[in-house]
Amino acid sequence: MSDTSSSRPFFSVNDLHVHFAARSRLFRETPPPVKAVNGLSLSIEPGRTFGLVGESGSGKSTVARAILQLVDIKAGTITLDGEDVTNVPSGKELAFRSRVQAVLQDPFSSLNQVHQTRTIVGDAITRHFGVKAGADRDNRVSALLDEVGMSPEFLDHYPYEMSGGQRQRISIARALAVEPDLIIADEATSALDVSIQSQVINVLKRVQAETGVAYLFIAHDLEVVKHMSDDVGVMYLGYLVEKGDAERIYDGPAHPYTEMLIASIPMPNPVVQAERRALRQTFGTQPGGGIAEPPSPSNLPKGCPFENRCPVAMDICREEMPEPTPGHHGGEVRCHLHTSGPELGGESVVHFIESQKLSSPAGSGSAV
Amino acid sequence: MTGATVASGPEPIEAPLESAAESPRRRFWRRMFRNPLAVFSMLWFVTLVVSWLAPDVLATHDPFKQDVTLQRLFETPSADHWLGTDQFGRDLYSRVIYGAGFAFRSIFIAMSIAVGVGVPIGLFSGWKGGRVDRAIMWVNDVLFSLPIVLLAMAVIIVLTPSLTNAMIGVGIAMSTRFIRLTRAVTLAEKEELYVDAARITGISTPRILTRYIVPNLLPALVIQAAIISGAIILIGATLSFLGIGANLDDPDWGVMLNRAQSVFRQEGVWQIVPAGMALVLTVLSFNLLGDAIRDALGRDAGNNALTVTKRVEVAPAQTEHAADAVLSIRDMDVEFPGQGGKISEILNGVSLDVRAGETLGVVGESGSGKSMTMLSALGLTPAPGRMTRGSVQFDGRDVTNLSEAEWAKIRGKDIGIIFQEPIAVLNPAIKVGSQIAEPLRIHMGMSKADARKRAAELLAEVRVPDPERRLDQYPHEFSGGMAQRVGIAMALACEPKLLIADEPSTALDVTVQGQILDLISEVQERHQMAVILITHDLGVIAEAADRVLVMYGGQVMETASAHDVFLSPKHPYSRALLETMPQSHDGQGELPVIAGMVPSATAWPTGCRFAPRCGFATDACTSSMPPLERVADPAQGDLVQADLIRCVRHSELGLVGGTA
Amino acid sequence: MAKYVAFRLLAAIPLLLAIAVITFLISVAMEARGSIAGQVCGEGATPECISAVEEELGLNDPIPVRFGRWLGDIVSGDLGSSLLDQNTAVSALISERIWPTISIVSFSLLIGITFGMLMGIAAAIRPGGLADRTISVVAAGVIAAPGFIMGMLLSWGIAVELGWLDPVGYVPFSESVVGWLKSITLPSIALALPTIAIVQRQLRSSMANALQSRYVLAARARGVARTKLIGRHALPNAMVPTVTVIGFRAAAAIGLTTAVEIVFGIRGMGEMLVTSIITRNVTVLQGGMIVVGLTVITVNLLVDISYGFLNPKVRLSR
Ligand SMILES: Nc1ncnc2c1ncn2[C@@H]1O[C@H](COP(=O)(O)OP(=O)(O)OP(=O)(O)O)[C@@H](O)[C@H]1O
Ligand code: SF4
Ligand code: SF4
Ligand SMILES: [Mg+2]
Repeated sequence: MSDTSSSRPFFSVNDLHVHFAARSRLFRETPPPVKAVNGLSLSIEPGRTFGLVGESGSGKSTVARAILQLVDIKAGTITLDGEDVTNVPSGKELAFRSRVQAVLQDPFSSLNQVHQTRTIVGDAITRHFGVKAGADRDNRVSALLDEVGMSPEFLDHYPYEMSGGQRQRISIARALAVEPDLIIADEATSALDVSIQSQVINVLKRVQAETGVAYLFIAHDLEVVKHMSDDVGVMYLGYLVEKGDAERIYDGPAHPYTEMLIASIPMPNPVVQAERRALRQTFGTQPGGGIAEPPSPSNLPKGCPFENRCPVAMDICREEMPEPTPGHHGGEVRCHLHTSGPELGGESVVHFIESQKLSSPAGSGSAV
Repeated sequence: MTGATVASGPEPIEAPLESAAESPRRRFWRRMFRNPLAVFSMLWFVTLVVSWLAPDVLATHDPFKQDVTLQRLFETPSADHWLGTDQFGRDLYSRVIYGAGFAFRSIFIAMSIAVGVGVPIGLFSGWKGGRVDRAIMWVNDVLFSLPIVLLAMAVIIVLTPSLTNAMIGVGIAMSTRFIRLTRAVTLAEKEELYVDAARITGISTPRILTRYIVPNLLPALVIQAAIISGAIILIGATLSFLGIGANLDDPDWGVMLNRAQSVFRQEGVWQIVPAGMALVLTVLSFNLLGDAIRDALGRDAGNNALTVTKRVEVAPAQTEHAADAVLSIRDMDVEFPGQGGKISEILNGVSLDVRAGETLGVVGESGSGKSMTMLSALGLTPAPGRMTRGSVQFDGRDVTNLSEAEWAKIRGKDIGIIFQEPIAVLNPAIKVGSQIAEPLRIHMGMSKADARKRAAELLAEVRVPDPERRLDQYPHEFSGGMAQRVGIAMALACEPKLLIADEPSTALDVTVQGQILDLISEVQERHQMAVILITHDLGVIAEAADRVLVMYGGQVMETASAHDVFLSPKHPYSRALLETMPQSHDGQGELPVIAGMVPSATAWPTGCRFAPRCGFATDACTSSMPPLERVADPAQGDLVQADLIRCVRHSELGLVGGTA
Repeated sequence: MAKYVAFRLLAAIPLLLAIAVITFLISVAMEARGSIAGQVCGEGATPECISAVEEELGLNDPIPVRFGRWLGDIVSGDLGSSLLDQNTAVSALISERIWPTISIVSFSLLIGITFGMLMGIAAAIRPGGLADRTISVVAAGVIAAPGFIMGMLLSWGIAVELGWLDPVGYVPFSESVVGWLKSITLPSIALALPTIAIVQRQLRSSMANALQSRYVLAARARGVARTKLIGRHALPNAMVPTVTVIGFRAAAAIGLTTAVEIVFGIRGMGEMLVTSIITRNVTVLQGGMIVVGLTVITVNLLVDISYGFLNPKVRLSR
């Protein structure tokens, strides 16, 4: 790999925008486009994991699909090892696919029902290494199965003969077959039961330790992301509102939305959870007692998109979209609190929010 | 770290289960041959094919040979002419046999055109999507909506009347059916993740289409082709009958009917029978074949919410009910007849109690029987499942054998239920306001206006902004979180004594989940309801539950106070579940796992159902099923508070102690 | 809703245009095979006659010009004159023939939809029950039998053997209402039988789907009684796909009525179309196609509008 400058990231996404145009209709006004991703930047180094969290509809999967060349990019660049891979020309597609792979969410639809494991994983080997179907290829598939903790007997199993966890491991084996440098795991464990989820997480971590592959790990479960990731990014309505070192973000979120997410994780301990609940109740209810819903991604406000749910919103928040500013965790945060009002300067927002809440008694401080 | 419950370190290599599922191909043929209608149509086809390929083997006469001696005309069946003769004295039986050839030739011509034109266009259109697709489909829809007979007529007038030309017309018209189907399937398959996965692997588009999409399209195409073959014969016969299809001397079924139609009023109805029967039976068997293939490929035949399985004697429970419980279940078994006569025991010996003002959390992995427990307790066991043992008491009354009509008076009034999929449980065609008003009108006898007023209050109570306007909206205008609030409002409408919430927040975002949990506990306090909260999320249980019931493999594994289950779990499964959660694990190292997976309901392991995955299993565990035992001090005499556990080693392991 | 209907009306215009193009292409295709002028001049046509006719019918003009002229004529109600008899206007021919056809098709749809729905609901209430199984078997048989066979059986049984109705002929509405009703009863029933079966099958299966849905389970869990579950919760949703099928069936019935008309000796559109094909009288066929096209579009419009009533999603998103 290149040794030119260590400052240049191995993989990076810069100012990515993805819009989905609404269908134009005869005789009617064309609705505004859905702005799924708005100016997202992130970078990943070999052997490391960047975790992306956010609620459903926040644009996490669209980021994955943009990197994987499955949707059109409106603006921004993506680079891999110094090379521009924003729009890979078809002549170079195979080379790109051999470096960037994916494990997708739904273990039941991400494998084709009509093929056996031998073909599902083997097709990738044939495509990238020209090994034709046969004993040689089967041996390579068996080795991959071994890597994800499955016996060679699964070679001639069809997807419907396997459990969710097993299928997800087949997906991982298929991704590993091309020996990629980066794997995008989009909700790879979300559909699994806890006991199975931990099996798959362990496989992913073990593979990374052995091969040095980098992960972009996307999930809505914050605890899983925290466990998997070195760095974390938090998305809200297509914006990356905060990113930085995983441990430090969880210990001291600098964005009110991140704080809200962390406070919402229920912990499996009744004593701890009773305190966390009090903290959580600071959010979400409007002064009038109603429930604020996030704005529609096709009709974003001109100010901060979190403004109508934010417990500490200020006047400027309605008027201006905050720009990214450096955060204490080595990353960035997009919130006016850091430059105006209390001017937190990138520090944790937890104490400020707690000092602001008047009614309910103080929570337990740090969320995790 | 107690660790011992859980297989830690490198996980053992997983081997497939012994009993792999029946292959779909075998299941398909087994079902086909077990279906008498399918067998009938297949036999009919064999006969037709023989008549087509070797008509002389079956025919007794030359189908064209006329015999115009007077007594030879319009004969009814006789030893010489098995099906009689027509107005030229020709043998009807032989003509019918020869007619099969015309039918098959029609199908062949029309079908080659229909499939040959339709499938590629449909694939192209569906795969391309966007404007191209819309343009193609627009034209196709125009043609699709025109009568086929008319389109065929247009082709015939250009090409001059003949069976071949008629079938070219029919084929072109029928291609619109294949375009539609192929396009719809392609469009749907294209959205499947496996197509994305193939693209990500670098598989080329033509290969994705041929190797991935087409095999998935095939079953639908075969079903469609069978049914359309029937339609082709029908339309071909209609055109021949009209005199613009086959030649008027040919032994084509349509032509024979054309001949019969001019004489049947005078010469008797028999003239239409031979060709008519041949035609109807052939079309019928194509249709039956299509249906049979669909059934054989599909899931098990539909039962619906109204199918009430025949009542069976429910064996009584062995233990007594708790007197003060709102809902009390004892020793409940639920069975489902599975494929091949195998019975799956979905629930075994389930017992639970919940009291007013108390929240019982029910937790377990998917398929552990949480939802089934609740449905069965309310007499809602989905058919063909049924409760075979146990007893259920609600509000001091035995409801085990209640009739549907009696249940209808309790459900929605004294028991409110919240489901997991907030939008799917709302009727898409009815305004939300009328749906909330429904229980009020049924159970409280409110007038329309009163019910509407109360519905608005209920929406306000569950903090839906702008309730008046929301009443007049339809479910699809609600987000998941808002729809779940509607679900709660409906469940609470009649101020029930018991609220059952089955995964009320699982489909929702984590921030919304908190709001929903708060809402439930708020209304519980206000109305002093008993609440059963079903979820697979231990964190949710920890927040909301007073007592916890842990389920695995259709059985209760442990019941105890929330405090005990989380801080000193006694059952190895409860402990293992807690330890595998990332929340319980601080380091970056490997997570503890529970090896293997949940066994299938048709093949429970003998003895303890958790034994194959349990880190503490011994021989005693696999020899016989551990009973559900009481652990609390029996002197207390309070059955509700009695902690229950199903593990032969619990007393021994309880000493190991430690927290997760 | 008014906006939705207006929009559907506008959307029908391009549909009409498409049908006009298809119809026009028939004459282009026939002419490419040299048949139109030949048809007019008859057997042993002289080249002079051919070129004179081509001149008169404007067949030598470029195709777009001809299409424009042809379309203009149609819009002003002029469907041309019969190729075989220049004195007979196609529109006159059609206005004479259309009433028997309209009577039979609409009456058959009325019967078909009513009984189809009743039987569909009856079968869906107790899937696998006696009613369901009986209806299913009968429906499968009826779908397989074309209307003209049914027609012959009815004509023979009810008219010839029992003598209850006349076996052939059509009595115009203006002559005698009872006579009219009597004359269209048998053909309508013949045409309606497959419709009943088709509607029944569709409604049964969409009712089965609706009854398996979560919202019906939820309604049952709220204490909604059985009749309401069926009538209020399942039926409106089950009607959505059924209405589509009814629309298709209406279009098909328009085509299939030809054969039924012939069985009952009724001189309607069907007989006119068949004769026009045998005599290759293309202007008559084109006129017929335009009329049928208009009818089909009207039916589609009705289907779309009932969607709007049945499915709030459709109505509001437009
Ligand atoms: N209609 C049915 N026919 C046959 N088996 C069924 C049916 N419905 C459910 N089951 C089986 O019953 C068992 C228990 O299902 P249940 O839905 O109660 O589990 P659960 O604990 O609620 O799971 P989840 O967390 O996925 O909701 C499972 O093995 C399931 O496959
Ligand atoms: S910018 Fe304002 S509204 Fe947005 S998160 Fe920060 S404080 Fe809240
Ligand atoms: S009975 Fe044995 S196998 Fe079952 S949970 Fe207890 S120790 Fe484990
Ligand atoms: Mg469930």
